[in-house]
Amino acid sequence: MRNGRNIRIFLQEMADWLTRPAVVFYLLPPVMFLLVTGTIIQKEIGLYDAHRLYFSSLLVWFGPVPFPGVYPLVAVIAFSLFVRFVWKSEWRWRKAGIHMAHLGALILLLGGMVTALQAREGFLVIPEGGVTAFVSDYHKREMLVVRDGAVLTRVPFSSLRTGDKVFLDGTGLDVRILDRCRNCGIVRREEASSSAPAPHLGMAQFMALEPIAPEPDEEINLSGVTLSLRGAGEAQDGTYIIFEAMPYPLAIDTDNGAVEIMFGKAQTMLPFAVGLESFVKETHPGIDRARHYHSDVVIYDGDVSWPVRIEMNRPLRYKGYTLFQSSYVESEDGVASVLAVVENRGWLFPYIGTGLLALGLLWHAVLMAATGRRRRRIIS
Amino acid sequence: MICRVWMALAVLLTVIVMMPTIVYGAEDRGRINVAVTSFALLPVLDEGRIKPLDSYARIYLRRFSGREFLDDMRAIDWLADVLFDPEQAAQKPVFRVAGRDLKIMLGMEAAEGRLFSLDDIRAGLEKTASLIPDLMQAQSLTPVQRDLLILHENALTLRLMMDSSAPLIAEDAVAQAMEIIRRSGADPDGLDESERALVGTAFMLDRMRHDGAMNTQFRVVPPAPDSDDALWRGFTAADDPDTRHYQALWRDMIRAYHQGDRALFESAARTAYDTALPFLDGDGHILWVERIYRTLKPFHWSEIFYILTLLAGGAFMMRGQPLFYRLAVLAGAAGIVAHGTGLVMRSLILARPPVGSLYETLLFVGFVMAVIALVVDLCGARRGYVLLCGALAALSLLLVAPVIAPEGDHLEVLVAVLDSNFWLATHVVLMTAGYGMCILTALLAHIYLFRRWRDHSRTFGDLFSLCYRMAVFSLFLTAFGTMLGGIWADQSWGRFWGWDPKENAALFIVLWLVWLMHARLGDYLSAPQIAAGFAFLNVIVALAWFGVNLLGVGLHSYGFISGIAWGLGVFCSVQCAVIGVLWYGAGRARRHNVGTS
Repeated sequence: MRNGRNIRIFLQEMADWLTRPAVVFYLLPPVMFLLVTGTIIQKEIGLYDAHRLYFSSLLVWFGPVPFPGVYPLVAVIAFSLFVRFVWKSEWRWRKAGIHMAHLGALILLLGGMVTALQAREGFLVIPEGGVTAFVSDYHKREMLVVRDGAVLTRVPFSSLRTGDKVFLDGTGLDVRILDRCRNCGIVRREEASSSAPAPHLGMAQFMALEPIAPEPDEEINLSGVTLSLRGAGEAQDGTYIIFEAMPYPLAIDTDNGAVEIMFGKAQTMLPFAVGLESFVKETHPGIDRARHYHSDVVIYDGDVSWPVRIEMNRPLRYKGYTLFQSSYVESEDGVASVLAVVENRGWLFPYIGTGLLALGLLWHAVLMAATGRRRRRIIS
Repeated sequence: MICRVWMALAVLLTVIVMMPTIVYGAEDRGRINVAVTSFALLPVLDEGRIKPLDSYARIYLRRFSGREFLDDMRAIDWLADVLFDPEQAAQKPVFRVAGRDLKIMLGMEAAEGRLFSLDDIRAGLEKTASLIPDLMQAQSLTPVQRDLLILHENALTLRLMMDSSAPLIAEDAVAQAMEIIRRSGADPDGLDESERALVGTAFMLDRMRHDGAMNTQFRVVPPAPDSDDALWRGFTAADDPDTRHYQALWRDMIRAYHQGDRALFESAARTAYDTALPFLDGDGHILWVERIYRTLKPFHWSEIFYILTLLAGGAFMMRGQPLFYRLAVLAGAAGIVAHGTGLVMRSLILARPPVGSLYETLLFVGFVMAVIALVVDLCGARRGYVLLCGALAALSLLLVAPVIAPEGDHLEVLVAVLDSNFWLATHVVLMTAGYGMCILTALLAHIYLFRRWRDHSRTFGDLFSLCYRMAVFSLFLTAFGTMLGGIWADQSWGRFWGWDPKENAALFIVLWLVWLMHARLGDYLSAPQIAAGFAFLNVIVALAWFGVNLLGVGLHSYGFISGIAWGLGVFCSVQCAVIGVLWYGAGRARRHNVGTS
């Protein structure tokens, strides 16, 4: 009985403390500090690493000194907002603006959490007349082993470690990672400083991969792996290199059929396919500055297909995926449209949160202005 | 006394209004004054949009010389020389060669002055031509190298402009040569000396004509009526009668220009204008609007009115006479009208909200601040300091704007991602209005700190309260603007929030305001400390507005700039020092009050 009362008092005190402005007052400065640091550092390390190290980690390390990350700090603020909103709000018209703004902020933070937990993004590159359902990830890379068109093994680049063995059941092959680089420089074999064991086969006969400093823009890093392969026979056993944008996959003949080893951006498959009928880029007259571009695509879902136009600021939303006109690629073979693909179940949260936040702040601001005016009139 | 002030103001205004007429009024300089003919209104396609020749001339003259007029002629007169009398134009000093190092590079150490003609710099350009390919490939350039590169580009542009009318000039001579050849046969021995000279010249001109046909610097000929290509053209050879007729009108202009026949020139220019109008899809009035915009220079007027507001407002603060307050309000309102007129004209010309570039946001934020300041001051205690803050801030931004766009006001077309009137009119307008409100709040906070420092006995609660209420409005505008930016990003890039530098900077303003408000709510900071925080908004807004653009990373690449880091650094340092001093002074006053009580 007494314990229960103590717990209640404790919870009451906790709730009181959490609903004080002190939570925001003391926790916002570290959030602002991380925001500034993570923004400035983008100049050096790029958005991808800044996001990973400063904005989406639980703990940020400044040398040997740990610092709470944005997520835990914002989580405490959000919890404080929630407790205040539910238990400590004064439900009066005068306070309605503040409550609405707090609710809007809560919904925005909740949407941010949903997005951080499950959103995935990538891109489709579709040449005119082409159809595809494969979405490439912007940042993640993977090593893929394929036999007869079927994927035997898919290893994310982040899981590949020097010395690791890659298991390829049913092929009799023994693949071992000798080296990996997030951003590789390609050098002539005779100029290579690494000492991968001979024989060097495939493209490794002529060149080697050496790690260089990653580019701030993660997308343009050229990742790759140096690997040793055994069990394919004397003629094929040796050291190979595989890397992004390799003109052709590494093909190995085994007793159980040909095996292809590839490396590139991680791919996922859409539950529907997208075909590009035409891509149109309009420029301002007389100059090369793009004014507008759009893709006329056809969506193929099972037996059904229909045409859709995807253009700047007008995406297509279908089956939880959103397809945006992102960019285009011009080459000798023609033009290809680049569509960004986002799967985000939390996309509606910001719309609701923004509406509430804006209404609440406007209400509060107008009320304050009116109060000030009234007070001045009384004084005068 | 009052009468004398009004009279002095009236005389001052009259002088200001008449100034352009006094300076440029001389009609007869021995040749046609093309500025008062329809020639200045003729449409030309340049930098992605149709504009009047008057604008075209001002833009290029400013690009070359840094000025929109020369000592003895207006931009449009200079353009007429460039097109119709290239030899004369080549002798006109229009190129800015600033700095001794650049002069040494060009071999012009002994040359005096800052402006030089194409003939003056020709030898220097030839001498340095071999450097240009390397400079164009270089990752970074020294200021002298950059100036040299710009000079070469400008000289090339002027040459292209001068050559653009060559096909017209050549046509008559070539026709005459062809007639001589037809008459005398292909044998050159059959020609007399003068005929041979004419034929030789005609062949040279014919070559120029072919070169000119490739020249797209001066797209003044409307598209052929039945052509699929809707692009305006230079003076290319054309078979269709409409184009030939249009080119014939230009030939008439050239002839009339050389003969000094103003009536013929105006008639040809007027007919050319009427002929071109149907190709503008009903937007012919835009040419007029732009001409008036360039001639009136509404932002210069608003600068003058804001200065008058500062003078009258300052007099009111010192003398306390209501007349000065009324004058300040009047001048402020006139400044706002001129400022607003300029923005409306820009919107009409560009068919979009006037917030598509950093330069434009400066103009817009200045306007927002002036309007808010006037309204707040009139609706409030009418003490004049809000009005003064608004006029000062608006004037400062109008003066800073040319620094951001050193090549002048081009009325630029937008990149594809910004080409959305809805989002420009909502997100960008709200965000920039939020910047304006923040700056106004910061200036009021400066005044609050200053007054607390100077007058120990008072707390100036009403001024602090005004600051706070303005900060709440700033929070509304910046928070809503930032969130709308997120929704725009969700529509065009696929994510609401991407931790892009521009987004983070906008969020920082919001968090800063939220922090200060919670500090006041919980009484964690004193009023001077909170006011110092509000005053610091100036620095935060400057960094969010321009500073992050200097980083050169992120998806807001259309706003990247360079060359203002020093200026921004000095501004932020001075602001920090001023706020520090004011805060210290106000804090001392507070301690003094506590001590005496």
